[in-house]
Amino acid sequence: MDIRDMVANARAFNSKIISVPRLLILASLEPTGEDGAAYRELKAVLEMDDGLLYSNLDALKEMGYVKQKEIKLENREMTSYHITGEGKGAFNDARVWLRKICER
Amino acid sequence: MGELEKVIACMKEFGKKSKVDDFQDKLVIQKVVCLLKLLGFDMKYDFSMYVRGPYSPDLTADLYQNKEKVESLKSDYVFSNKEKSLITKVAQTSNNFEPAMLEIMATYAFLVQKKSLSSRDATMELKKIKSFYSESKIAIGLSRAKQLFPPTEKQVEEMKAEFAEIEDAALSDMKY
Repeated sequence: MDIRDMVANARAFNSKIISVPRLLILASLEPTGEDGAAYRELKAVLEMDDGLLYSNLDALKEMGYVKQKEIKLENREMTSYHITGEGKGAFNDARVWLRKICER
Repeated sequence: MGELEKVIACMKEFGKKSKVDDFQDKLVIQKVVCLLKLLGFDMKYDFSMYVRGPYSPDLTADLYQNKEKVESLKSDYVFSNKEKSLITKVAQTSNNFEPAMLEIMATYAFLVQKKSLSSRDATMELKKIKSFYSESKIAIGLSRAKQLFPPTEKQVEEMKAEFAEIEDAALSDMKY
């Protein structure tokens, strides 16, 4: 892929998800599908502080890539997040583009 | 292809009615199936380490696709004596499928058996990825996991080496 193709392909996906925290969030939520993960699980496994995690989850929510749900676990109310169909598509587009760039 | 029939039979055995849309119910199913697999009762679902700990996306997909069957506990599978005793063991050690116990036990056992971590490293990793549980909850979960999975000879040697280090340090402290 030459540089002009890379530029053209880059326009085909939402570059706002190309940040380490956002890619990590999407990569961790993708395999869990509709189940998603509790906020506390994301925070512990991704080793992010509340500010970083909240702001990036909010950004992904605004883009329609992640949805929030209230759940009950061991009689405690908590929040979970799951990836949407649109989020899966956007994540896949970004992954393909990044792979092409690395293989060049 | 997983054997959902057996998964449903496990829940039926203990009268565990599960709702496929319920976060906690699915967590319990995932961890029970994972623990049983690690104990040798394989229901043919592959588990990997994800944000939820050991988790099988195929199992989740099967649960959603067979919602009615799962929720009404429809299964005619009959367990062998060995399978039955393993299910009883998991139920007993996890306080009858307490989610936190199951999560801690399954995560620890997976780290030791599948990721080949030493007992010490698995404990440290567990404390990181399940940091939302209290120290005491983790300690109880770990001791239950060790009850369920007695240490191998190699693990006993590792523990001896670990204790020897502590003993040496204590002895050298006493000198001063």
